[in-house]
Amino acid sequence: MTLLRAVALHRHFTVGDTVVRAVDGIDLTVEAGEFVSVMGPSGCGKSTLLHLLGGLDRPTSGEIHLDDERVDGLKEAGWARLRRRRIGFVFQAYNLIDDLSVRDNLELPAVLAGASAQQSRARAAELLDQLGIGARADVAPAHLSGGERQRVAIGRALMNRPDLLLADEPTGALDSRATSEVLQILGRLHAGGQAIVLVTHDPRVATLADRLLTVRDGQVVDETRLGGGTASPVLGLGDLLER
Amino acid sequence: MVRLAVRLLASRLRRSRASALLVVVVLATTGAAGTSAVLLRSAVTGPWDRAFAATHGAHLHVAGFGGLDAGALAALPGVAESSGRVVATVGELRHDGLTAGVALVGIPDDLRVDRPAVVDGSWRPGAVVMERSFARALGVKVGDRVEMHEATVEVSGIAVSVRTPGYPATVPGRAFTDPATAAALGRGGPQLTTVGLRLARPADEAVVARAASEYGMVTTASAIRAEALDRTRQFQVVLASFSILLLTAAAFLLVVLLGARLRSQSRELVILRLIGLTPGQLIGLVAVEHAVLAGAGGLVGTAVALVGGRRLAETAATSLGSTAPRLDLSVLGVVGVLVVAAAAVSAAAARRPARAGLVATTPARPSTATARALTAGLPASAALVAKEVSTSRARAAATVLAVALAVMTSVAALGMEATFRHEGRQAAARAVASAPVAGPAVADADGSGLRPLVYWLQGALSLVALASIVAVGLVGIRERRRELAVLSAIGFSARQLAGAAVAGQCVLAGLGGLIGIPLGVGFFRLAYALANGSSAGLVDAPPLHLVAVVPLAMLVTGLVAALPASTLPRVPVAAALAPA
Repeated sequence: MTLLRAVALHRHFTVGDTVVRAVDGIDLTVEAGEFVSVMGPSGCGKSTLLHLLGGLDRPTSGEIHLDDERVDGLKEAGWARLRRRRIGFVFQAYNLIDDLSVRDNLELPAVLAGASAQQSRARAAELLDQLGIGARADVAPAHLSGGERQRVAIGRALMNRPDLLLADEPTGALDSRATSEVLQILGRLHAGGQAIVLVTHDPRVATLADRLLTVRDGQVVDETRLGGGTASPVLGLGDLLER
Repeated sequence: MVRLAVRLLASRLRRSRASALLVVVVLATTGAAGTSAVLLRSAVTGPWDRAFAATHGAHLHVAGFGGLDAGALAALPGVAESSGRVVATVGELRHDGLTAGVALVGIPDDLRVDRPAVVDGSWRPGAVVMERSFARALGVKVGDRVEMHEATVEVSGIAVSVRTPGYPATVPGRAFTDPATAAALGRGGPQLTTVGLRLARPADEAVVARAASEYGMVTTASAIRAEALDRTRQFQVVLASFSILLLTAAAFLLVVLLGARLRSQSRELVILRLIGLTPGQLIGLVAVEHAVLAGAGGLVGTAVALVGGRRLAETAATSLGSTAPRLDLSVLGVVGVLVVAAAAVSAAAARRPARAGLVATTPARPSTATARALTAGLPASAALVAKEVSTSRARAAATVLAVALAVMTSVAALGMEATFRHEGRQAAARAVASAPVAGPAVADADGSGLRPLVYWLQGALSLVALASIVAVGLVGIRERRRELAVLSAIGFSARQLAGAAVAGQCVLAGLGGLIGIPLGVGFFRLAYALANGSSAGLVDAPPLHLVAVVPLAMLVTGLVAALPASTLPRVPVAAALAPA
């Protein structure tokens, strides 16, 4: 069943007299529970593509469908409601709220989506335990290591059990150990049926996915089916977990 | 190094044009407030002495109904200059149904000592110039016609004179014309002759004593000055207080704005250190940048204030019975002070990012207010409001203080209004008890002169306070750009974020209002006691009005805070979330 479909997606910027075609006619389909990696060099438009899919940016032209509903024409408030309930984001720079505790960073989106205080607290505790940071629930994000912060960011993205997790270079700022931890988590999530679109420039990370799209100059130049993150021509999840 | 500094400065200003423009606008407001305060101070300082200088006033007046030997008076030892004989004819003057006693003074062309200073219109043969307080009481303007002994004559000017403390302190009122017209209009009425003397030593008691013993009716300038100043003390205290408040507000705005701007740039400042700038160079760069912005803003603000503030100073001077203060280069000193203050304040604010460790070692403590809101099961927006109020103490303090200042002056104005109303009712009761006559209005029995000034000043102060709220809001959005983008990414709509920002400001405004009320009551009581010598007759603002001030302050703050909040949808979420 198709969860997300993007058709002829364009995002052009004008810089002075030059038109930059950050995304230049990308077609993309993500099935429910599928893990798609988008790989390419810096500046190829992969992060812009992710921002378009999550409504953080607006396409110049093209269509975005979530389930069967066309969503690219939604207003800002409509996209906000979608992100609140159906789309989770993980960023390279974690983007946690510095002056909220770890627990409050997780609870805020749940409360925003209408969960009661008890429900959001229970869900946050459950996720923090699963992510191995239950003991750090009451500290500020600045007290955590990079890997721990990214785990908090993943927990926050999962609080409302989104249909789609969009991850923008989630391991880009992490050392190899933390990268391994984060990839284990993403692998477990995928195994549990979570649909993920992950953007990376790292081939080792990209090959965890079911399908790998290679983007260059705003266009998909290659698409490879990888086999569910269990086999990778470069480095599989198993390899990573053993490192 | 200088070349590098200039390049960095130019690039910083070019890159953050909107922020620089905001700073210039707010600094212009600061400059305008500062210039207005200086103009007001100059109007309030030595009002009688200014009018005395403008009229080349006499230190000693000798008056008599018979002939006065002006030559003998001028020859007295210690007399430096004499007006010669100046003759006034006493009669009645009518205008617009009002009748009042008048001393019509014949002013010789060559009169130098105690010559009334025309502040509106001009001298014209055959026309009269009215003394300003008398003209105001009768409602006479330049171009009107007044009636005296059944002859009508045009009023060609309004003048200031320090011969008396002014109408109605001294009756009859005074009008001036050429000696021939005075004689013709007077038609044989009683004549009063005066000789004004300027003394070599203004406080020469011997001359005064001799003139009093030999010629009888003697008035000294120092006695007139004391009476005039006593009558205008209320104005003086109120205006002086407001000028100090305006200066305080201007300084407050400067500190708030520059502090907030530098906080929003702390990351960039750290990067400049990473590329090799020493803390001293960084502080110098920031100081020069803000001095440049302050110079631009100060010039704009001073130019604006010279139009609006000058009118204010003229009105204030008129209320004090004086001439308008002379504008000199000291007004430009405001720009200089602003430049130096901006450099100093920004340098002080830059010390922290300039000297802090390059890697954060003291992370922020989590907001307990937000945690409590979440635990209590409050909606997410309420949790955001709690965060808004509790996490940026400097921003919160700026809003609280700005509102407290505006509320304080509003409460003082309400107290003044209540007191004037009370005095007005008492005056009306007295008038009913003692058969009213169709005489001229007694200036300021009902505060008609003081009221507009106080409201004007209160409005100016409130504008400064509101400008701070807008500036703090805009800088706050810039400072929290990434955080707002994060909240947007997890599902908050722009409307929810704007609503939380506005609600947070309203909560702070409520707190500011609660602080401002007792401050305003205290300020009014103090100003009243200083102006009147005691608190007798003082009436505080009605409690209902005071209670209404807080929600009103919250409402106005909410409306004003909505301006910066309305820019939230324009925060580029994707760009703000990109790794730095």
